Amino acid sequence: MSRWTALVLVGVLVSVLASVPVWLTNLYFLHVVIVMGIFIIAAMSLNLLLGFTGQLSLGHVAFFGIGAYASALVSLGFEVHLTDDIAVGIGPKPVWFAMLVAIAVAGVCGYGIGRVAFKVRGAYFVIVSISFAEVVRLVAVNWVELTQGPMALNNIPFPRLGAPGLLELSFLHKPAYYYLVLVAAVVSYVIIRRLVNSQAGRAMVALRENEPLAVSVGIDVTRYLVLATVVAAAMAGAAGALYAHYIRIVDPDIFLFIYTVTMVIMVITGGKGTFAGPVVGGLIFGIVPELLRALRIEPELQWIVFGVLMILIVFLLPRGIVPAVHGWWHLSRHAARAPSPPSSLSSPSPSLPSSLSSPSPPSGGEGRGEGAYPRVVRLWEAPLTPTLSPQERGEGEERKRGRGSAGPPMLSVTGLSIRFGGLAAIDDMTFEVREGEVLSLIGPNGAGKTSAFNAITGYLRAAAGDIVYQGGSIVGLRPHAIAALGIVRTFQKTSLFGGRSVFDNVLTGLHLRARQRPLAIMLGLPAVARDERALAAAAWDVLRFMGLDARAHELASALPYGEQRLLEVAIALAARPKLLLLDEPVSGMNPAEKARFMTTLEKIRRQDVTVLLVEHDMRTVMGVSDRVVCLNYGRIIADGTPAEIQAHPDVIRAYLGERSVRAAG
Amino acid sequence: MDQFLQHCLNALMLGGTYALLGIGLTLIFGIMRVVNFTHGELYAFGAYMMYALVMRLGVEFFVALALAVALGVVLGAAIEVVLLRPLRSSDIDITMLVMIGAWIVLQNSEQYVWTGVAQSITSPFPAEPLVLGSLSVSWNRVFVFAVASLLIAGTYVLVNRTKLGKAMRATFQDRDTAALMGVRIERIHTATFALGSGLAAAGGALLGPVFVVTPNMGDLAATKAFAIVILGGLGNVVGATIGGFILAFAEEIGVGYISSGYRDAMGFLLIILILLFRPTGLFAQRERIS
Repeated sequence: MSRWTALVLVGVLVSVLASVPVWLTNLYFLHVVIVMGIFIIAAMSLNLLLGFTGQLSLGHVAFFGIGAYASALVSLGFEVHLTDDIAVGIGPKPVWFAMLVAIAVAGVCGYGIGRVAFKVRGAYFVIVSISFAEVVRLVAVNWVELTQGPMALNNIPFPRLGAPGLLELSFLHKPAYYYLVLVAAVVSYVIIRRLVNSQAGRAMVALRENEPLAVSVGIDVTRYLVLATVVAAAMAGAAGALYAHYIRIVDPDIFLFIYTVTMVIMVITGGKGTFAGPVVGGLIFGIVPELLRALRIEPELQWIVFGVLMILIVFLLPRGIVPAVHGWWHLSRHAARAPSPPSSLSSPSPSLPSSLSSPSPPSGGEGRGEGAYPRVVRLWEAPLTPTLSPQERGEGEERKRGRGSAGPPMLSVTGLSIRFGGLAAIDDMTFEVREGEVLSLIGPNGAGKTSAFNAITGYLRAAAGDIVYQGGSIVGLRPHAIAALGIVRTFQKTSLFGGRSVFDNVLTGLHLRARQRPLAIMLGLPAVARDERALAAAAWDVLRFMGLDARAHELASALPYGEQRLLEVAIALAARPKLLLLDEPVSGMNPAEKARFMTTLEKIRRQDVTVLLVEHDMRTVMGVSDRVVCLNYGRIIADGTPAEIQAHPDVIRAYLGERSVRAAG
Repeated sequence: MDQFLQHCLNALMLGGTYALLGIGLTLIFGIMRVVNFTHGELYAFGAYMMYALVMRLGVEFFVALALAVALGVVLGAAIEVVLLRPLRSSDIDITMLVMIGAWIVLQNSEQYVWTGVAQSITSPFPAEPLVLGSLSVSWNRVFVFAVASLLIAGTYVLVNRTKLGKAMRATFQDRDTAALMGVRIERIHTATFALGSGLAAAGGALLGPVFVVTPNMGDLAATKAFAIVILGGLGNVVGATIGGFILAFAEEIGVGYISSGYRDAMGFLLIILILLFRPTGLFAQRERIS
């Protein structure tokens, strides 16, 4: 879509929305539109949780209802007896103030639920959220002194602007209330959009896409789940307050599960995780019930149609209308274009683009044919990288020695033990990583290499032992905190934010470098935009460094395997590690990809990054390491230079068996 | 003291049916990874079938009970085959939404067919209660408790002692590996869902004559079943059984000593508290089936 088409579309949309009360003179229809608008705000707020953080909250109506009750009670005034003698109460307050209180109260409840959401995920969270809404409903039913119970709060005042009698704007009139809801909806939309397009939003989406990876680059799960829940709850509370002062009666039925379900259907139908989704879904499910009513269908049948529609939508458009339309649009526009060229990995020269080159445009032009494949075979026969070539070996070794052994210890692991039930994955392991070196951890499958990684990075709790990093113990720290100290890891199985672009992946990796406060983000302060620009520039630097700049706008999951593994390293590098832990980075790579990876690793260490490597590929290990530690059955059996390790009888025994040792000896 | 013992007795009677509901739901979640929102509707369906058979068609009470459970099994199997089988590889969110859709359809169908008027079912049990010293309990409740206990025991035997049960446990542990070992996963899923649904329908058919039958009776049953399942740990049959009794006890004590208005809030409060302090349930090292 060109810029002009977009502008025209926005212009049309704005004039249509702004002129609704002019052409929609039927007050009943206007009423339907107002209620629909309020529910769209609620659905948008739910989408922040459901769509962007991936938490299915089925208690969202609780925030809506709490907002409605809080606003109604503050504007009406109330008095409750905590005991027979002690009463608490307030007199009637202005409606606008009541609405603000409602937003705050809902936000505080969101904070509580957000803390819980961190503890329980998935199906458990769903049930907790339903229970929460149900408990609130039962309180609303039974705390008659406060809520009037089933008798409902009546005669809730409507908002006004200006002085009474003099230039007074009363929102009792439907057109005025329409504009109020419209403004609230637009503000909500803008806030969500800003949030999602910021560091905070990327962190939320990262949690949805791949939580372990998100944590590995320093994203604090609790913080962003709580942030999302607070914002979503406050927004739902605002919608509830708007509802209360519009309908002007609030009863406990506002908490019924069916309203949550309606909001969820709106979000899913429109497309969760899209900006327009809740709006589209809200329009559909705002109008469908009215249509059914207009057709004079009995309420039970209306609901049956509703349920069937919901099932059909999930079956036919599981991702929702907006992504589906988006997909068709793209297909029809790009059908004529040639498919993009194959992997640049098979390129004749694996040299990396100069870091001085201008920001790279999205990939497209460089066509490379199958003609490149024969080179792969030749590379297999040739030495893998210059660092491996015999001539350079001595020189390289010397250089590495000079740096490696001189460095002070950066990470020391002492007496580390990890048990899974009765099995000791790691037993009394002690080793050191020195600043500036590349240390490899090798050993047969099940030797405990990945467990050691997990313990160092906080993903696994050690049964015993200490891990000291730069003079301080990091045992017991949560993984994101360890990442913030500069220890960043990759994962054995390819681990990316698959549904996002390569560029966004790296941008997410830059999380720890971002300086954005949630409130500044929502207010759209210029500092946030500046920070975003700086982050984008940094992302381009990382992409160029890794030679992935030409792929920046491709979907991460669509990259060829070798580049996916490079992207993993790019994400880790973006987090600016001092100690980089790579877990089998070259496994499954073809020789050309391995060669490219080793060149990259050499470049990484020149950036003063210390590397701890777990790898099975001995050529890679022996080619890049300053030192090698060999594990078997959870114990260290050898520790030394690559040459020493290659000749060590215990290592040969572990890998090849007893007879090989005798043969060698 | 007598009052306390009476509450305990009531809790025991109530707990049997709660456990019945919880076991069905926990099996379905554990084996199929489906949060089954139709569970309460199957409970209501059992009650309505009981009503239709006994009050409208004049079928003998005990025959009607067996028939109602059988119909629940059939409906459960149908739901599984039509709605869940095509979605077997989908997200838990997706199946959850489909189940919510099915719940809306089922509940409103009941409302449409039977209207919202509460119906009662006459039972063949004597009206005067069974008196044990200072305690008393109605014969109908005793019967309900006995049948529920039998069904629970039967489910244990099925899960732990039969070949089908072994296949279920295997599927619970690892669906893919079970499939590789020759377990027909789709059959296990259908059998599990049908079994769970049958147990829910049995709960409804048993309690229908004790209380009254209304279209939305399933909602409360479902939420309680969820509470029980959470108490026991998702997928844990023993946990669900004990959880059923704990919930019943908490409710009885709540009604007796706090306020009857919050009876139904007890379950939810328990859920929230348990999840805050022991997220995997009271009895689980981790999720397990038996």
